[in-house]
Amino acid sequence: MITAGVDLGTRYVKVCVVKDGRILGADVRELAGEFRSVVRASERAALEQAGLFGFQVRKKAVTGFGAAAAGRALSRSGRILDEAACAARAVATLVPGARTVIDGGALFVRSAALSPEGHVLDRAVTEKCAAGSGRFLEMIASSLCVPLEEVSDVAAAAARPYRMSNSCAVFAESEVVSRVNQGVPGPELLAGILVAIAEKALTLANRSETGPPVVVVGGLGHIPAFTRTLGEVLGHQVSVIPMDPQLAAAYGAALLAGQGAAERVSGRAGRGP
Amino acid sequence: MIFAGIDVGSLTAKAVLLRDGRVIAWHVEPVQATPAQSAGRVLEAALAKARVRRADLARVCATGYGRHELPFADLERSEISCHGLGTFTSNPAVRSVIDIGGQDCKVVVLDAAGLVDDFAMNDKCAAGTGRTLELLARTLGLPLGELGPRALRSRRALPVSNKCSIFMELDVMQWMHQGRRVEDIARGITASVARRVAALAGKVTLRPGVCISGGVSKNAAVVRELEAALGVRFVPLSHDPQVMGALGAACFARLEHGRARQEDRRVQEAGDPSEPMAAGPADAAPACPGCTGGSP
Repeated sequence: MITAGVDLGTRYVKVCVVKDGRILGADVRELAGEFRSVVRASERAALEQAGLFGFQVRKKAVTGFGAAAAGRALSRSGRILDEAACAARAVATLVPGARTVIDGGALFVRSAALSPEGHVLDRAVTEKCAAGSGRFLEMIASSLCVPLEEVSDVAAAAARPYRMSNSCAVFAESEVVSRVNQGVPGPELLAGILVAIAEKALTLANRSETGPPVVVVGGLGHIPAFTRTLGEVLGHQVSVIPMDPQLAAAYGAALLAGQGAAERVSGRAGRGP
Repeated sequence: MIFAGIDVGSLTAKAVLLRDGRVIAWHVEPVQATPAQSAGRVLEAALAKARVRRADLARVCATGYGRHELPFADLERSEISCHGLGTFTSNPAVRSVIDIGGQDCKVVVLDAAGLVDDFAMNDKCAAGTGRTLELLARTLGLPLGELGPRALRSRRALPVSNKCSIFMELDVMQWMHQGRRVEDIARGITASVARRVAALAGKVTLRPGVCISGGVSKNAAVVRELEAALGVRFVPLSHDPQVMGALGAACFARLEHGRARQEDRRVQEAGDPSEPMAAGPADAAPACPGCTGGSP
């Protein structure tokens, strides 16, 4: 059966077209302008890559921050699924036995504890602020004139990470600017930001009983230095999901779209400790 | 006798020159790479406006985020104290100050002499500061100065989070994606900033005679929303509200000068240099009129 998953995040829309667990086509694009047309264009691109027509997709599911809005806006948009459940399904499929999922997105960082069967037991998400998010890294990297793709290489050159004294993204940005002016090397600042982000993920992970193996999904998974830093901070082996980590939730949504109600229940509202 | 106050903030640097207790020149400009550079430039510009030389300055007081790094400052005072004394000098009726700067927001409660009794300040989060407005104006595609006027034209504010500047940006982008009116989004932004500041003001007991200072006081929509949220009318200030910190610093330079001179006089009248009190005034003596300003 051919299914599709749409992950409408805060910065990017991700679409995955899946048949029997295999990705036939996928698309990631920035949400700029009117979001309905961006989502439609992204769906078309993924289908085109898969060599399929829209009517061949039997089931579809939508997830992500903008899913509710998209659900109303898009006709036949399919079921709306929880982000943590989607990411967990992708992780459980590709890394059987994983117990913790860290999802580093543009604005939100999520942590989820999985059962041995891959169901979400508990989860935590940043709610109050964007400290520790991908956007935070993006802001700091751009104020240091480092493209996101080069963050890992640049941070690797640091003798030791600079300890940031601010966690607010806006304050940290001006702290970085004044440290640059004082002569603190850029790599040390960047490495320090990665530590700050990893520590934020650690705080979240500590809210529930998480343990190894830890798997990273989301855009931050594209930055190897983040995964390495996270491993050091958590004290566990950390790996990135063996696919484009940014597509993980869309892939999970496509997998769940083809399954029954039992899986849906596992992804429902989390409990606080 | 001329005194200078310099306020190096996170986004702009300000300088005020005071002669006989009156403001003779002031200048505001964006910050340079280092606080010392910013302070130097802004002071030079103010001196040029007043047509006086650096050597004419009796004393220079620094305040603001970069105040510890200025080689030519004779003394330093905290932003809290300077905004307090600056607004009090500008309008003696002031007893509470709400200052919204580039990256900080503070509420200061003053006594009848213009000195600080109580204060509250944001320290962990930049939501509700000038930087928030700057970021969101850019997201909306408006020049910063347009945000207030456009917001005033709206009759219905769209809800915008007031938790984090970055989250606010997301809300704004969503309203834009839905094609909502720029005016209504702008009003949502200014209302959100005002709510945030009002929450900070709730941490202290405001005394009647509330004024607003700092760069954000130039945003008429934020001012209006904040007056509504606090249930007050702000008392006017007789100088540019953005230079209150620098004005307060200049006042502190003047006070310090007067204090040092008084102690000098006391020492002279006592006529006994071996007196234990002499150590303090002797330290301050080289900074007396005519011989200051140039020492690096």
